[in-house]
Amino acid sequence: MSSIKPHGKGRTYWRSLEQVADTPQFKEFLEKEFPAHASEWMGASRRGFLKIMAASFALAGLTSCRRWPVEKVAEYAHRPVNRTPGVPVHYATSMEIGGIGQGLVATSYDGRPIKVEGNLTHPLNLGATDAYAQASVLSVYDPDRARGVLKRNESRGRGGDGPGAAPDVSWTAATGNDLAAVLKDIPADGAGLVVLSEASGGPSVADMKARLLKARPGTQWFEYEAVSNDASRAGTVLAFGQPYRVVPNLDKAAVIVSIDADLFNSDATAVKFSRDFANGRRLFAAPEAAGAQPESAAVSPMSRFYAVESTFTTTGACSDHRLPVKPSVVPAILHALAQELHLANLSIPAKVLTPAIGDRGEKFVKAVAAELLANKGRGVLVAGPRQPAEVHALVALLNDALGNNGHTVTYYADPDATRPTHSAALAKLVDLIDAKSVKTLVILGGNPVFDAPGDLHFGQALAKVPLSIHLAQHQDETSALCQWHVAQSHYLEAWGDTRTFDGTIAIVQPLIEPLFDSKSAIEVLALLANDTQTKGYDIVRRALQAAGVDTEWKWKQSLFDGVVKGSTWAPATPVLKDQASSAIIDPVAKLADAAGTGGEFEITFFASPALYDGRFANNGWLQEMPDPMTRLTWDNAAVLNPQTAAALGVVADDLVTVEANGQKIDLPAFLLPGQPEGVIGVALGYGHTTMGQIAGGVGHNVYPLRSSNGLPWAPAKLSKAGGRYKLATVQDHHIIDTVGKQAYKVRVDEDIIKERTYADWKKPANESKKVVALSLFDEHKFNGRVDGQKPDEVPAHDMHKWGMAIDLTSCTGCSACVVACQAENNIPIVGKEQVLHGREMHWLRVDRYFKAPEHKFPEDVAAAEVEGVHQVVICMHCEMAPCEEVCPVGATTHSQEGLNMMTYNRCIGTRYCSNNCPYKVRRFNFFDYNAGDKNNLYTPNLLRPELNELQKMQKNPEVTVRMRGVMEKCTYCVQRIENTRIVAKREGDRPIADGEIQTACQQVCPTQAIVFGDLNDPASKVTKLQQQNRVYGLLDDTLNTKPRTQYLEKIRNPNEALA
Amino acid sequence: MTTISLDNLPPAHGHGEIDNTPENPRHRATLVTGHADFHAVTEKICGVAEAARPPKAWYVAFGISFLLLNVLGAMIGYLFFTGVGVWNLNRPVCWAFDITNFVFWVGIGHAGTLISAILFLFRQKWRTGINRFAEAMTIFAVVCAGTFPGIHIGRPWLAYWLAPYPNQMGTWPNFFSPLLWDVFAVSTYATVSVLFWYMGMVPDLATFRDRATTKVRYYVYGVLSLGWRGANRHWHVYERAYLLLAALATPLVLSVHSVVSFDFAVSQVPGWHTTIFPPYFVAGAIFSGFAMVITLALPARHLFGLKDFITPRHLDNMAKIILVTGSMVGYAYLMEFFIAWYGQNPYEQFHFLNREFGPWRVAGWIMFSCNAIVPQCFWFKKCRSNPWILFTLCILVNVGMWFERFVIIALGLHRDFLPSNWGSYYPSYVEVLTLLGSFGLFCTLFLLFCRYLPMVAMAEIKSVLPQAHAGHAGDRASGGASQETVAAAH
Repeated sequence: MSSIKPHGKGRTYWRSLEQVADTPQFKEFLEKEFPAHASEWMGASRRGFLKIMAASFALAGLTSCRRWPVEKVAEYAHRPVNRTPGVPVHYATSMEIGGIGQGLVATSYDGRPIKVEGNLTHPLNLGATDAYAQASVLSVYDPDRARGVLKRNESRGRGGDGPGAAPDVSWTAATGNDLAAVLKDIPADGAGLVVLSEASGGPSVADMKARLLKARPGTQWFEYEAVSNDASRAGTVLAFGQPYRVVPNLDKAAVIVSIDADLFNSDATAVKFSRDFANGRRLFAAPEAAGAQPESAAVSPMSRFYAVESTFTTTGACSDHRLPVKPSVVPAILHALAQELHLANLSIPAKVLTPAIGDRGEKFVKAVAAELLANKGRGVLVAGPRQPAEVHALVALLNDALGNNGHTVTYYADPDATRPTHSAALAKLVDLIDAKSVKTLVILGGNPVFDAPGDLHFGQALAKVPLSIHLAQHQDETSALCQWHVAQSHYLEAWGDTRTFDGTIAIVQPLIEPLFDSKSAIEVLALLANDTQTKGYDIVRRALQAAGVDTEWKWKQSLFDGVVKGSTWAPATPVLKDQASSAIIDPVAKLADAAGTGGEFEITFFASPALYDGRFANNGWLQEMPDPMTRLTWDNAAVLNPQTAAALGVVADDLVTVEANGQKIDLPAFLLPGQPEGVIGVALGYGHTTMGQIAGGVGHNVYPLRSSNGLPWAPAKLSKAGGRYKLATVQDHHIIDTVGKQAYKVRVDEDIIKERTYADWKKPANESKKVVALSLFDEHKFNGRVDGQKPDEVPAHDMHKWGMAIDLTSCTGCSACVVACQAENNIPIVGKEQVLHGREMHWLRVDRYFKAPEHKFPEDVAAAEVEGVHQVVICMHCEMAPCEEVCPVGATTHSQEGLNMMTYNRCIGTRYCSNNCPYKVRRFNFFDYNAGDKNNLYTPNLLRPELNELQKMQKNPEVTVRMRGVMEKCTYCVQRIENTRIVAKREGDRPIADGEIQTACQQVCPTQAIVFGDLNDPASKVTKLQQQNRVYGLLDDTLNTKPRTQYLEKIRNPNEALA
Repeated sequence: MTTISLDNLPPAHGHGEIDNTPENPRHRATLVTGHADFHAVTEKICGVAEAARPPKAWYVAFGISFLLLNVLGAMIGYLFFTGVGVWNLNRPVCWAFDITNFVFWVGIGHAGTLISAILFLFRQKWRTGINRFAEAMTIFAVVCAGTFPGIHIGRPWLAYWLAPYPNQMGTWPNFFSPLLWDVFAVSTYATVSVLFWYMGMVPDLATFRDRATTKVRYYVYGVLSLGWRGANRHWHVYERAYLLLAALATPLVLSVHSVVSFDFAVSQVPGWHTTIFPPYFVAGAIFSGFAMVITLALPARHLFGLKDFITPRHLDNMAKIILVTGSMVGYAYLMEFFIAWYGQNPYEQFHFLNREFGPWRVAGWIMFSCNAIVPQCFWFKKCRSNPWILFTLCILVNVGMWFERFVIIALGLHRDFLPSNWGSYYPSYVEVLTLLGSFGLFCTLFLLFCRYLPMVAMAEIKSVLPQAHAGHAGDRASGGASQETVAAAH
């Protein structure tokens, strides 16, 4: 080995390592540093040297298995104003269903909306939302959404609207210009131009409609919604001569009588109804006074709730007295009630109705009448969309006669007084098409081919229209029969505005640029009207000028608040038409005469609590949200009383043929105790043939069974069809044996659902006795202190003992919390197959139980004797958690603050924790549910298509996305706790205020049934609630798990006269 | 000590066998029939492994077993690359076939060590005929058992996290968890069993080496026999070590299944949370283990002509052990019912009602009848001696014991506390094939063992031959006792 001597000047460079290694200086250094090993080095060859180097590197690698300090780089050289990367921003916006707006606050992470909450200032939401709004975020990232403008290829494969008729269409991508060229052919006066719109209450649409009608006077405008409160509107026309919007104020009522209404689900105003109802039954004067001691002067009398219903709904489950009857019997009950009231200002011809309503009905009617009379002005009758206009008219009349108007019922004048009812509008449109007077049909949203009543044959009519354009988010059944399809913007992508139940305007503020080339309804209308303003923003600003948003400041204020101040309507004081009484009572008497004469079976339709009218069918969260009553996912069914089914020889999952209004459909049978005898209840909105991967082939479309004749129900024929169909219910699928039924009954009645009557609860002596298990050991104090720490040494933001209280009295079972939890915590959907296997991933579930009189099973008693009750179950965060002890790798542990924590990284998936959890709230990722589409779960990971990029955008970055083989469960939204703690720390180590942290389920709950907080804070709401005398821990008496989540007994307020 | 003369014994049931089951208080029953001497024993047993070709039936059995083993591999591969979801486990039934198979195989693995350790300590000489392959069976069963906890976890590539190895994160396993106790119990048991088995085999392997005719055999057996020369010192050390290992293994027989039973007893699931489990599980394990020994011994003795070593008396004795342990298991079943009633815990009461009258009552009744009623047949001599009846009953016991574990695990889980969680379970094809595949693994290993290793402990069996005791009749010193008889004296 030779070495080149360094030159005399300049810096020394070595050509190679051996060169430097060979210098005398280096050898000398080596000699000094490693006297014992220097000789070893001296012989090092180049190869040897490299070997040693390699070995040292390898060893260095071995010794350096540690976390390197994280080095952060600044992402923005110049950070945009008001924007911190990774810090979410919140915008007020609004979402509209059936013409009713909800005020929302959407959370956006780096430009991606990922979660919505209710707007605290919006009169409908007051901070809460329904499940639809929660799930709407997912729809933004729906990969099946229509993209751009499409023109259908003229190889028309099909016509007709029969069930299951598969569309055979192909599309060509077009542009807005192509479409504009086509629209040029529309006559300038609008002759032959028809617009079919969804219900829309916002000023912008109204403004654009007016402009279109002005620009093209020949235009005809129709509005159609498959599920609406039109019957109520028509009822007010019958009663008062003009249409009104009826808004019951359930919080002000002492007696509530629901006439086949579905108040807490499937209604655009359900959030308000739920909250008002809960407030009227709260065992304290007001929700904020939850800490008040019971039975003091502050305790408000609990309202009493009667429900007459034709299918078992959450409304019935919440009621104190439920009268399940056939839908046609409901008018008879109402008539009997009117008769029984003996009101001086109301003369009702005597009529014997007992045969139709039965002894039970008669007793019920007498009791209700007595209560209503005793609470004049403090009672309220509410009718629902499952009853015709005549019934609504009589309800309006009775409310008026009882002096309830203006107190427990508020009326608002309908802003669009001249429009026909939705079904009449659609019928007229079909007539016009048949008369060939429709040249161009523009369908703005909605899916009438799918959800029109069967007798209208709308699909066949639509196919005849020379030029049809459909604006929709998906290429659905209606698109398949239109020549043009225009992608519709999601509400989080486009400007708009809405009006809610009381007229309050909320601005729809987009959070994200349209992901695809899409348009909103007002933008399409602008195109049609040749408007000068074509951008949504400009249209909305212009329209809101009239509503008083005329300055920049007001606009900004309205955007910030989410509502337009001063836009609320003044309540109307409608006056009954002359001679209204007989004109209203006679039609109901006629209906009452026909009660139950239509045959052995009757069919009644209800909007699906999950899919509403079917518009959410391609939303996986909602498809997998169990129906609160049947707990079905991914399907609708013919819901039958078990005894009715037994008489036909039908068992669960049998296919039955249902024939109504001249149409026949095979449906799977679902047996629901408490369902009125002889009634087939079916949920609308299922059975899409084309809409997307999620919606396609799920459930059965029952819209063809409906008729446009104004009667919401129909006599039906029911027979066993032969064949089976698996329904994916998440509860009670296998309880057919007596042993199981017995245990079910005993447990539900005695341990799981604790229930008392209001009268019973008021007795001070009757406090529930809590079993206190003594421990031999020093138990954890959860006072935030590490051993030896003094209280003042612990920072204020660290001294917590988190807990939760769930009030069974308030909970209506609406399931908004299920979806809110799913949205917040990146919970995947698993699909019907997996639900059938019992592998749904919901961290939060709403258990539904039935109660029957003593020694009887719910399946065996009359429907009226069955009570339903809902119980929200999430991780109880047991202080003595059975799951923690058994995990072999310590992946689930207890925090200092009492959270039962799950370390996903550490979990190897033995599933022992789930086995040992008595509540079974743990969820296991049997597959990589988050990694790809649910249809390929059984394909090895390497061969499985990846998750769509679009779907990845929806995930909440605050929460880990779990991989396959990992257990997961409710964390009490620990990310929200930590975020708040960081804020509190930053703000000078201040304590965290009560209510500052809200879990996702708590925040969404319209009834405030879920309360989370710090049990170390004696003043916190949750502490006060957990000190109530009706608190119990689920299974705590049996297992001493010391759950942090405690339940408050369900208190019902039954009428002793009906006992 | 004298053994009764072979000539006095009647032939047994026309199978050409000698019936050595009758008890004669004046004489010890002979344990090796057929006039065998030391040489004949060596010839016979080595002959199995040295034959140019095994019997045709071996090929058939090996073919089927190997096929099943491949099925097992395919199923595990599919499982690893897809997820535990390919099994039909669900919530609430998070364990079913996986842990059932684990406990079943661990249970099977009990007979071998019991025979080799406990019977050795109790000087039950008849164990020599069956101990070798019972031990082999134990090890193969533990191999099968060990597979299941490894593959059943959600992320099997992280199974090593169960081991308390030092790491930079400072994380340790949770020593409270019975699953961790399992890891230690089963791995200890497997280690001791392998040691015991292998050590016991060393003298026989040396015999194989000495008789080797090919280089391969010479070297392979040469390495395996660890330089055994049959020296006195070798025998001395060997005997001591064997005794110590037996003493070490004996508590393990009791501890392993006790610990496995803690998986259930320590939890709070109704039907699992029972203090009777440790003795009940151990009895059940021995019960199923002996049934499996008979299940394997019957065809093996026939196939390889080992009827002189595995005699009707061996089968008779084992059937008696099955009777005893089966009765213990039956008692435990009844005691569970009694305690459920007596304890007045409604959840536990329901579990036992549900077991016998719920949707899976069939499984419940299979378990009860196969394990508590079937072994009662062994009160009858005919059932203990007729190989066909014996075989059928032992298969039933095996079936029953598999169902016992299934009933405890899956039925315990499917209906626990909250009725809203109640669910059901049925296996997927992957689970069924994995179970069958585990039999493939077991049988493949066992058949390879039969073919290549000494199936019967030659050195030991020579010690129970009459010739080994020649010296006992009179003068101990004049007996001309061979090395083997010295060994046998221990």
